[in-house]
Amino acid sequence: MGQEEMDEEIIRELAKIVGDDYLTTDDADLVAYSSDVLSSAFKKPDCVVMPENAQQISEILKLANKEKIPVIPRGGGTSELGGCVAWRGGIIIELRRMNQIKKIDADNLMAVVEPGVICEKLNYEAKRVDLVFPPTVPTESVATLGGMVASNSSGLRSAKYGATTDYVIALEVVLADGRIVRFGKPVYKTSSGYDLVHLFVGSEGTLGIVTEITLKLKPIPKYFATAYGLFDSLEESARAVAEIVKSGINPAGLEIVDLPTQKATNKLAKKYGGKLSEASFPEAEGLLLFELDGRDPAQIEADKIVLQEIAEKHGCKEIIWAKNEEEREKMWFARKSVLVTLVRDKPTILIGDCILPPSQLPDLIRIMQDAGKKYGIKVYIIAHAADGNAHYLIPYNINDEDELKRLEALEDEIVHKTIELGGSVSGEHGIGQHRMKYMKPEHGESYEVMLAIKQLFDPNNILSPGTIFGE
Amino acid sequence: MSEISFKNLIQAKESLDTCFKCSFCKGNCPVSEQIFWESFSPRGKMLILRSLLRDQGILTEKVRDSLYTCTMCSNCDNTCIAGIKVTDVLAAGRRDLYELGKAPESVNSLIRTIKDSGNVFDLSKEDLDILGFNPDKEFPKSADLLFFKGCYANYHSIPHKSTMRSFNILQKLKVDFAILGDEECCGSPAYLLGDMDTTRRFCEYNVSKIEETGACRVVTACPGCYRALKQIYPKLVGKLNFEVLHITELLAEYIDAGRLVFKKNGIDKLHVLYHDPCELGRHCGIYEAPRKIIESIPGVHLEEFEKNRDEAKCCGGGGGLTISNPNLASQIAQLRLNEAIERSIQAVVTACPACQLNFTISKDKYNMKVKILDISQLVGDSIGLH
Repeated sequence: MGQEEMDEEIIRELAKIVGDDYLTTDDADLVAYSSDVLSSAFKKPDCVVMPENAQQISEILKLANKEKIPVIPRGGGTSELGGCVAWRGGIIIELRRMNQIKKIDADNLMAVVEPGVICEKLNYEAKRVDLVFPPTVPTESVATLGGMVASNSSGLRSAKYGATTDYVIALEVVLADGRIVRFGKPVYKTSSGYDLVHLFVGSEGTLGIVTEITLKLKPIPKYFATAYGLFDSLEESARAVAEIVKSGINPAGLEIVDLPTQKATNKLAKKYGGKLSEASFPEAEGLLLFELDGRDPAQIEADKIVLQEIAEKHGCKEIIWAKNEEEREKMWFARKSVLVTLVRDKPTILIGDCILPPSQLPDLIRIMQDAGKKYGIKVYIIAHAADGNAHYLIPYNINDEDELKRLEALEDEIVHKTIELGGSVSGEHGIGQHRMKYMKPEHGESYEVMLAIKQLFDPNNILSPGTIFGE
Repeated sequence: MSEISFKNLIQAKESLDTCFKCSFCKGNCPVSEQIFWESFSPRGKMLILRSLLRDQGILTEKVRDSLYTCTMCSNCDNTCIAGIKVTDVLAAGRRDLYELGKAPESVNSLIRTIKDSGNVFDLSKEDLDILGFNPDKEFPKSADLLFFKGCYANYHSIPHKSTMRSFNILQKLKVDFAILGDEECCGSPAYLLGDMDTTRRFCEYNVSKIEETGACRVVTACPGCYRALKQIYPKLVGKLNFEVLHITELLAEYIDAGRLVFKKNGIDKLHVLYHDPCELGRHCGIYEAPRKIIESIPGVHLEEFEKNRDEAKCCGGGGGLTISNPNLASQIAQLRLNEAIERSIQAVVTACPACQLNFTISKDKYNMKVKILDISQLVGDSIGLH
């Protein structure tokens, strides 16, 4: 049997599993699945299937494993790093059809969902019983919970609420050989055996395909206190963050925005107008956006005093508290508009998310600033400061080869220096294809252990090959 | 190079190259909520069109299905972080497909109908007489204010009643207005489906007929006509010699002037949701006039959809979707109406005949217990028109 005939036979087998309506090899579909958010990604899969349950995925994986065909699970396709692209061809499994919220258990603050549920949809339903899935990502209207588990997503409220991994308590996973295995129990903690649940969180589809997720939920906070803290020095604002974290007041949001980013946002927001023109920062060398939240207003008032004292100790010249919900929304709107305004100015943008312990945040910021100066590239910096997780945002011209070379050297330098200081290349976006080269330098010997685990779970390397691991 | 020339799409090259592929456009897309293939999402469509322009893709039937499975509601424009007018790009793609003879047969057929009959329903003036619809005989042909009726009002019984109600409101307010006896389709459907020649033909015809009446203001109850007259016509024939208004703008103006006054009437505690029509809201920026009218009516309590104003979800009735995929159009409407049912809202009010019709079809199809009202019906009921 020739290769071409074999492919056709495999397509027929796949169609038998999912049904003709849920398999496509049409070029337009393959183009639509050729990419994610990564600028350079363009690789068509051989086919795309849209299964409706774990059983069908099991059958697909049995076939793919036998034929050694790559299989790439995909949710909202919001990876910025090529994490859901068929780099070596094969089958993309579109998981959006598995979109049932199976249960919201208001008594035990849990939800059981399929991987294709959009994060915003879960929160819409959870809100009816006064609950929330707290990891907030800017893409929540598109990102699926399966994708958030695969990349261990987090975002603007991770200071208090952590990352997706902190909410995952049990999983159903289809392994490479087609076995459907349940990991974990719907309990808040367990001392029983290896914690394999969290092995899958952040594994970016390389160890198995998640088909059911049991998540913890939290009561929705009722009260908020939000403010800008204006500092004369970015470094001092970062030091204030470390002390705030140490104080135990636990803000829900603690964001740093550097002055170039504030200025660019203010300027570009005016330039592009419309709703964006409302995005405005007060402009200071160091700017912190704080948010305290909770269900006890007295506690928030007490925490405000502590926060203010720490900020003032670090030279904060002014704290501007939001007087009402409208002002609070305006503050967050400015922060959320940073990427929007930069993208409008130049549509390709490199985003990094290196992380160090919070007390080393000033070092991380300095590394980024120095690299920008060294390579003559404008670097915009924002940070989920309480985590020590800083983003470098670098708009660039994808057709300028010289700029691309300098950009690569700059990113290498930032990442390697972060690793030298004991940090990690990614706080929340993952590795995907783009950052594979940093895995070995960051993880050293544990990289070999990861490879062994990958080999154990996926000996034929069919699951998302070309993601996380190069070979 | 491909032998196929995408002469319209090439004009949108900059937008296609600018697409960041971030996928925010999928977030509020009514089609992406129902069809999960990436090729039917705005991002997928942009990728497909970009790949066609770069000779990396093949013009398959799926391209056609993908491009025409869209309500052109502009939610993608609203959520695009790069500020791209995605619907302009999709419209360019549709124009190329239509001109290349690659549009779906349902689309070609509708365009033939519009060209031949001058309306989307393939009806003639004689049909109207038989149906007892024809308002042309009852109204003057010349006045400062001209009411542009549009195909829905002219030829379909449900929106027709709403438009007649608008006429009655204006009569009760003693407003002199004229009707264009030989009005033809505004061209909006042809524009949305990709036929620019027909759009231009209707535009030139209607502008000339309107100018003959000497009207200085033209009002319409159809947001599709409104957008055509207000935004599309000036692009085709330059600045118009008349002002274009939507009926809600005119009625809001009358409220401000004290000319339209609501008194306490039979309506008591009617909870309504106002649905922003895409053509009126996102495309033309009219959000507050309809709300002002509803809020002025005693006994009516205006509530808001979770997604409202510029974030309002589409009813499913736009962009030719009711022609290319009527089931999907109904499903999209059902999803919007579900919110009203879940919140025990008595009526959904809109200001668009296409929304009114698509909601009504869906409500009947899925047996949903909610009233669908055009804003003119609500106003009419409130000033004693029955």
